[in-house]
Amino acid sequence: MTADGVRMNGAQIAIESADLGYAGQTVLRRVSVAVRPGEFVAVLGANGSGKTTLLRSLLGFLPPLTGTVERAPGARIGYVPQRETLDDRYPLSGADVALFGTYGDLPFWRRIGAPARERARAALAACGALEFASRRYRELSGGQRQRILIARALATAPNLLLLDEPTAGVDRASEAAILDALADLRRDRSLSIWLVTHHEEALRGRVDRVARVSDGAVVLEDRP
Amino acid sequence: MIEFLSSDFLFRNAIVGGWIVCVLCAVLGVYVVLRRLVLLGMALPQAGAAGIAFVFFATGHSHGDPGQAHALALVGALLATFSALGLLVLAGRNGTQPVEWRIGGVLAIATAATLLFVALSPTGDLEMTSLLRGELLAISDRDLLVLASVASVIALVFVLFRRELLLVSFDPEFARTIGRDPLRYDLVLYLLLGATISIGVMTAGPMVVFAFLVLPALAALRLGRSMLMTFGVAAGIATVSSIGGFALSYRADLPTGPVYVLVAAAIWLLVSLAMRLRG
Repeated sequence: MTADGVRMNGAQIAIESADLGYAGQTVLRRVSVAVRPGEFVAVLGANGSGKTTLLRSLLGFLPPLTGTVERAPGARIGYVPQRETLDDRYPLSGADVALFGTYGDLPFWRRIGAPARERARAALAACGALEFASRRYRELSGGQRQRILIARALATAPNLLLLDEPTAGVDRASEAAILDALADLRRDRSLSIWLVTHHEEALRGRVDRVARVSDGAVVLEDRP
Repeated sequence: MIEFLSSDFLFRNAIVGGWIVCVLCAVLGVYVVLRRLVLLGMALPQAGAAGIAFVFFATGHSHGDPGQAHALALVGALLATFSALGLLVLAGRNGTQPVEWRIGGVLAIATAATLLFVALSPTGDLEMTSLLRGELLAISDRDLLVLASVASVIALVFVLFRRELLLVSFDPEFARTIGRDPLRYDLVLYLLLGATISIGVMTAGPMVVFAFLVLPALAALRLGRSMLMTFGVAAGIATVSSIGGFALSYRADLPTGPVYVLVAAAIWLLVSLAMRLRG
């Protein structure tokens, strides 16, 4: 991945004419999308349509098979994975998990200082997760875990949040609370947010654009 | 108990060496259990034992210079352990088959090779058989110094990289997004495991090493409220099991290794029972 300020035209990440997928298996063809600063975008599509492939390409985990994926030099990504991928047998509190977000700026020989702890605490507070952050991660509900993972991403001091199905498996009230919290974060911190989800209805009035993934293609639609 | 630690006591070095190995295995074992590497924890000590048996077979295991024999055996354990580890890692890259299949194959080969080299070794069979049974051998001051030095390096690296090891174990993809390469830190963990297993097999045998990679961690994970507490509880269980186990085996004239293991197993079972009763 290289940065090209002219071609990126202000985008934080730009995918241009790219085939995306895995070795020997193209999942998405001729994809051209740009992650614009401050924008809230929902990535929608059926299971197996390629939503996660798109997200992993934006993250830089998957190099494009053809075309280019470029990231602007100042882009800092906060990533929120599907929470089912995490093993809850680790003896960690919610605060421990959020603190992981500060590790990227700490050399391995340095102790975690007060500034890092304060950054994690502020991220937990911004996500409304302070009150349960001292409890063990495994003892938290799905919605509470999701807030902790969003706080961890926030603690990386990102300007772009990429979330992989953050509302899967949580009840409607928790889903609405998570989406409201994301909308607040976007407003307060000028964050760009790309969120993979199945639940189109819950997004009404909250997102600027929808990236619809189907039949091996990505189509972007404006949502006024 | 004090007599065991007296400088005049014949097995003092073996007790201290065994304790070092048990604590190292117990602490690293927390990751072995959490990362579901238990089968690897069984196969690698057996590979190390096969390496030692091969050295005894190939060199004729000269009884005239035990220091040289121990050094050669350590080289054999290191080479065999890291060769097995390297093979598993390389074969696992882009592999489509479950990793357990390959580890199972390594375990079967290592077990057969160990027994074969022991049978073929004209002079090393007694010491090797003792090692396989988990008899702590009398080790020299120099051997203990080497063991303590290697253990100190392992402990230092573990402490230095504690955050990264935890991060890449818990969530490797998130680690990548903040610039921590999971492969690099997995390599650190495997190097620590390989070195611990190699010196552990030399000192206490494959059975003790495998057991202490698993049992203290199983109990500690039931009790620990944080990673630090879990490591501490695992080290504590290893200490009680090894020192207490030695006292029991010494009094009852039983092989030390199996007693160590059974004390650790008893602690694990008691903890599991207590946690279940507590709900």
